[in-house]
Amino acid sequence: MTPPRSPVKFLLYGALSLSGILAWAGHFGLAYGVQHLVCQSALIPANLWHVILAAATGLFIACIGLVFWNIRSRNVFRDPDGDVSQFYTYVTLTLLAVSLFGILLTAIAGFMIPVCGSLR
Amino acid sequence: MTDKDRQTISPVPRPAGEEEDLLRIWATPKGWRLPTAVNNTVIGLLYLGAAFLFFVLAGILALIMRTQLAVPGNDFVNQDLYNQLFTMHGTTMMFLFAVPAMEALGVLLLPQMLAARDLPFPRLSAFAVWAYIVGGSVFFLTIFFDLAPQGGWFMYPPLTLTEFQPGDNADFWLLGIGFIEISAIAGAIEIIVGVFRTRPPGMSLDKLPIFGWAMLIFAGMIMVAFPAVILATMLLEIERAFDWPFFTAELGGDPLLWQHLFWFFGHPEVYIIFLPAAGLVSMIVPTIARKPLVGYNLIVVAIAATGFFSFGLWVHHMFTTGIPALSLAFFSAASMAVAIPSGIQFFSWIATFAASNRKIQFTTPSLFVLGMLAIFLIGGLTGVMVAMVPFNWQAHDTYFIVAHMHYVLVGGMVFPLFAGFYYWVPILAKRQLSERLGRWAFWLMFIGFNVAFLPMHFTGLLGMPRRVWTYSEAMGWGPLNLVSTLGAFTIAAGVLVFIVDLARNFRVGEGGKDNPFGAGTLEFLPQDVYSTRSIPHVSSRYPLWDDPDLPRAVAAGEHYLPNAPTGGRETLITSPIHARPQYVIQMPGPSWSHVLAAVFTAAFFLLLTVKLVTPALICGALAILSCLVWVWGIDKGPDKGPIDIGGGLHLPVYVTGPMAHGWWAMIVLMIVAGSLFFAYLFSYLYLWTVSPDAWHAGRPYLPGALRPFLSALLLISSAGMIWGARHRLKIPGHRSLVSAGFILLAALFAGTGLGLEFQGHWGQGLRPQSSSYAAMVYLGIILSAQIMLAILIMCFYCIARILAGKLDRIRVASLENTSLLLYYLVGQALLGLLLIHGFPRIMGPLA
Repeated sequence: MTPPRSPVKFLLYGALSLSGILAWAGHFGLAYGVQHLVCQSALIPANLWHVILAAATGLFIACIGLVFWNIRSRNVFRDPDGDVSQFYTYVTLTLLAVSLFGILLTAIAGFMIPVCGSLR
Repeated sequence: MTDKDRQTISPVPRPAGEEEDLLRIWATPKGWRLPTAVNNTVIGLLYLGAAFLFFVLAGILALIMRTQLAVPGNDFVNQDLYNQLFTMHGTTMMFLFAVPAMEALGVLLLPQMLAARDLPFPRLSAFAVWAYIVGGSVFFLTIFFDLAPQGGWFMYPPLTLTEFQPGDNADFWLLGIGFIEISAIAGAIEIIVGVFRTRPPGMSLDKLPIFGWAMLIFAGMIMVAFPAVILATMLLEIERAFDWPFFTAELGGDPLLWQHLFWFFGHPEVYIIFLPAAGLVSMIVPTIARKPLVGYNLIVVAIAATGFFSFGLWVHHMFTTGIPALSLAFFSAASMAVAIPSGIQFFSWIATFAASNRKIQFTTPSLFVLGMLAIFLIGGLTGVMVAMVPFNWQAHDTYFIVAHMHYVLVGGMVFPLFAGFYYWVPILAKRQLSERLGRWAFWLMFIGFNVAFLPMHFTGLLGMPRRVWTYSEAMGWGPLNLVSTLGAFTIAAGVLVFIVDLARNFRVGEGGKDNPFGAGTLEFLPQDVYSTRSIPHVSSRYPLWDDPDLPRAVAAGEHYLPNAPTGGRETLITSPIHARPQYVIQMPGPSWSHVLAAVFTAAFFLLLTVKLVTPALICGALAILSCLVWVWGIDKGPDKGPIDIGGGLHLPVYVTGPMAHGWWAMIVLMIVAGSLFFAYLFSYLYLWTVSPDAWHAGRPYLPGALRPFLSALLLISSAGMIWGARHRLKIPGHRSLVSAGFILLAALFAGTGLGLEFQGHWGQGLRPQSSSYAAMVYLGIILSAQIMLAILIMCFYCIARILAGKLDRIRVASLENTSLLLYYLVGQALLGLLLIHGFPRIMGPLA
């Protein structure tokens, strides 16, 4: 019998599959958190809010692009069972695409609303 | 299947007596020992039966309310009782019916769909069921003693603070719901580990039945969502009992914190209920249409996306509370976007019907599925309406919302549940339910539902607010309310017909015709108390369609594990992605210990509610003792050699580490604890945003930096100690007293670390009643201390096992799980120290 193996592959598959929506949640959390830090403490100057939002959005989109590119070009889900590989690739890419829209929506809202007036 | 695959995995004919052994080992206890049963079919049926009973009871409450509202100015019930009625109706439907019914289906159907003998922790399922039945019954009975809560199923403070609701009514809700949540989490752990680890060989994740995916996401959502409401109930109960001002605005608290925490649970709750029901529909539709489900992969994406979206929607329940515009924009967009994954499932079902070339079977399950499509569609569309902020402001707290919510929940959950019951009865009962009565039940419920709830859209738009006891004739709502009441009684007539059908035709026992609907999935294999005779090798999503000989081969014992080689209850554990056989798990059988643990747990919470502290503590101790008795005999170690399961595979019966199902369960539990702590972090930061002044005022009370440093050092040392204990264990047959000493030191160091942190704040004069900041500081310590208490018990348990010669270098599961929890505690406590001591220091002056 094959000796027991650790669930590394499972964790890798799980993390990659969910990377898109985790990025989306992370982006919103960051945007929401930074807005409060800007408006309620002197830790971050208020005039940096839009710069940070733009940078964070760019960074998260780049991350999504990186995962997307890796999966498409490098066949991250290498698996002897072709069905499994195809399934994971499909699920991950679709969720990444959905998340991209989510991130863009949050960013657009962040740019459209007043910085601190919206918190009051 | 290829010809090579068709080769028999286990040689036939099988030796005489094998099946008799299986029947004996898996037999359900009879008579007064019946409560000790742990078979998933018995437990699942008990679970489902109890949930259905609560559904009927909550439905009766609804009928009383509808009678009260049938005509203007009615005094059929008084206002106080009416408040209790709507609170109990909502609470019972959500907590005692909807979620338990879905978990019941998971316990009942998953092992059958996966052709496993049972889920991996059968006693945990049984514990969850008994805790739920005992606690739920006592909670429901409060309505008869004027003790039921009156704050609505969401129990918003400040209405529910002691000042406005003295007495025990609100406490019954808070503590009663608390342990029902524990029951739900126990069930979720079982489902997650079951789906990942007890699939039949060959059933890689891409072949998992959609119901399995739905239950997986359902359980995952419970792990993340329920801790938020656990924390919320803790906060409110602590404020009610000890005056810690989490929700009192004058002392830096905020009632809106409750709403955030409650709806962070409450909105996903809708999808927690809907997703498994949608999973049921995805299982039934292909059978009705005689075609594989169209868009399997897309449906999996849709289920996962719905699960995640649902956590981004909670604020749409709070659009009228004056929240930040960024939140309004995000949550409004997310609320509309969630219609997309739901729509994907919808279109997939329609496409599957379309692919059937008009060969749809119009049986009772089909009718309920079609009814669900119609009703849920309307609920979904009104959902998009209320996702829009301006409309939401208008419709908020009106009967429009009542109509929307019932269209979503009854369409999305109740109709699929009835469809499922009619569809899966053949695997439980000796004969099918009556088609004629089934059709009557459907039409009465379908027509009754629309008559009852469609007019509520209009009463809502006419301005009728929710939860009003009565109304003036001048408002003009009378005729519409009368129609709604007639509809409600028509629904009740439909449910009554179903009950009559049950009474006449439902007889638990061996299945009648194995596969009356011609389904393609494994739950329709020939079954007995041991599930399937052998565990099949699966190579497609619809194995019964693709290999018509499979039922015969499985029943003849030609597949894996056709016998009971360990002489006890066992099933196969397979790898999480590919479902490759890894080991054979030896499972516990019937016992009183988990039943007693459940009863004492329920008693602990309920006695605490009525302030009988000493009896409550005694029951708590007895619950812990029962749990220890329950688990003492489970870790049997590698008492048997590798066993032959067929197909040339010889598997171990004992593994530890990341491969073991117990390790998985502990990881899931740690994620639950992590979610609880995350909810705490959110609450801490949220209250800071609301009242930064309280944080600035609290800064002088912070102890010096040396104290948290010492606490951290002790906590890290405790992790080192437990690591050392593991590595000092001896080979089997030798007791390692050094390890026992290390375990004791680990517990001591961790406890002292937390104690030091507590003493630091107390010594500086900080009192939890003084401000929301102070309350949050102590709450962080409490969250770690309760895990510490569990670790302390587990440490003494490990020491006892070492002394009894039951814990050694090989048989190490108990210590492994204790170590995992301690590592988690250290991580959480260090993060807590960083937050409590770092955050107020790094925050600059107020902007």
